Amino acid sequence: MDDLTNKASLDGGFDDIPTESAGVFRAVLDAMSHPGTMQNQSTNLHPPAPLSPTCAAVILTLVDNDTPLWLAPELMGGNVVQYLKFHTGAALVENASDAAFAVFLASDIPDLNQFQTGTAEYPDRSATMIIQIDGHGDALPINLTGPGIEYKQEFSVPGLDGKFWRKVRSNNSKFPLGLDFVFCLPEGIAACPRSSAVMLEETV
Amino acid sequence: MTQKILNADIQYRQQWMAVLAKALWSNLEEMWKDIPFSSTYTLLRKPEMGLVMVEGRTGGSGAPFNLGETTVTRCSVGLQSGEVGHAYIMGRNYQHAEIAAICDALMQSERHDEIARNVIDPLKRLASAATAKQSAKAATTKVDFFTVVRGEDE
Repeated sequence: MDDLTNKASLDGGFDDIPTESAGVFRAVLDAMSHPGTMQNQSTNLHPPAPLSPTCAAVILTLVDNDTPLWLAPELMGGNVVQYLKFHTGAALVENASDAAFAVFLASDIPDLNQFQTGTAEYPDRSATMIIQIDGHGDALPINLTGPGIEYKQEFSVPGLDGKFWRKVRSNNSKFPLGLDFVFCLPEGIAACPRSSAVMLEETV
Repeated sequence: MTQKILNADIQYRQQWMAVLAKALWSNLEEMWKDIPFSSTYTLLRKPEMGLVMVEGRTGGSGAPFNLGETTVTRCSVGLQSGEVGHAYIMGRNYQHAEIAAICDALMQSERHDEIARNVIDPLKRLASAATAKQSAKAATTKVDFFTVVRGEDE
């Protein structure tokens, strides 16, 4: 169904929008300012599959009608589109370069080069990657250093391999331009902003 | 469903949603009191208030300008039977928004005829009566300008 007349796809938002979204915003803020740390975040959201509750909480908190949203093809089916349109009012864009936020699954990482990394004058005009982690797969341990980290921060995310982290490393080498990454795990939120230097074990 | 039929459906729904939104709360409350409604429903979006910029035009062809902001309250409900109703109303009456959303949902259910007869149509009549009264009042101030034909146009 294309219109907003399907109850199943609209139910399951925040019960108390201001309080709950402020809590999630705080968690994202903490995750961003302490890269590589897990911010535990429970939520009572019931988003339609395959969207996870944590991922939905982050999207509902950050995305609104001013921020074009790009969804991975796996999320375009079912009721996810209606759910996000109803609760965020965001415009869904087909063109990845128009997106302010992109949502995809760890199991299927899209080409990251297609997203905006900002310009020298406006580094803030870049996209934020919201990645849904379902907790499957091997977790490659990496080390992060940079702002918000005293010495180095050990970090790993299930399902994200060396190939992905090498992409992040090359992205973060472009600082102050680049993408920011928010990882939505079943138990909480973690982040890797563009300011963090990524060191893979193999290169240490 | 062809585009044409869809558009007609949308237009029809727009009509009743407009009637519900523009109705005076006292009138809607009066009509709603007599409607038997006991089924439980979910508030998909609790009544919430926001600001909307009202745009105006000077004349029919003038450029749009920002007239000012107005408060708008919106609400979405889902009935147990599955219908979803939305309402956007001007002002800050949460109850009005909720009842209007329920009416919108009921208008899509099998109780369509009943709600149309007992809520929408009476509200529509009240609205057009109010408009007619207003127009009649305004019409008394109308000035007809007569000019004596001087024969220059011949």
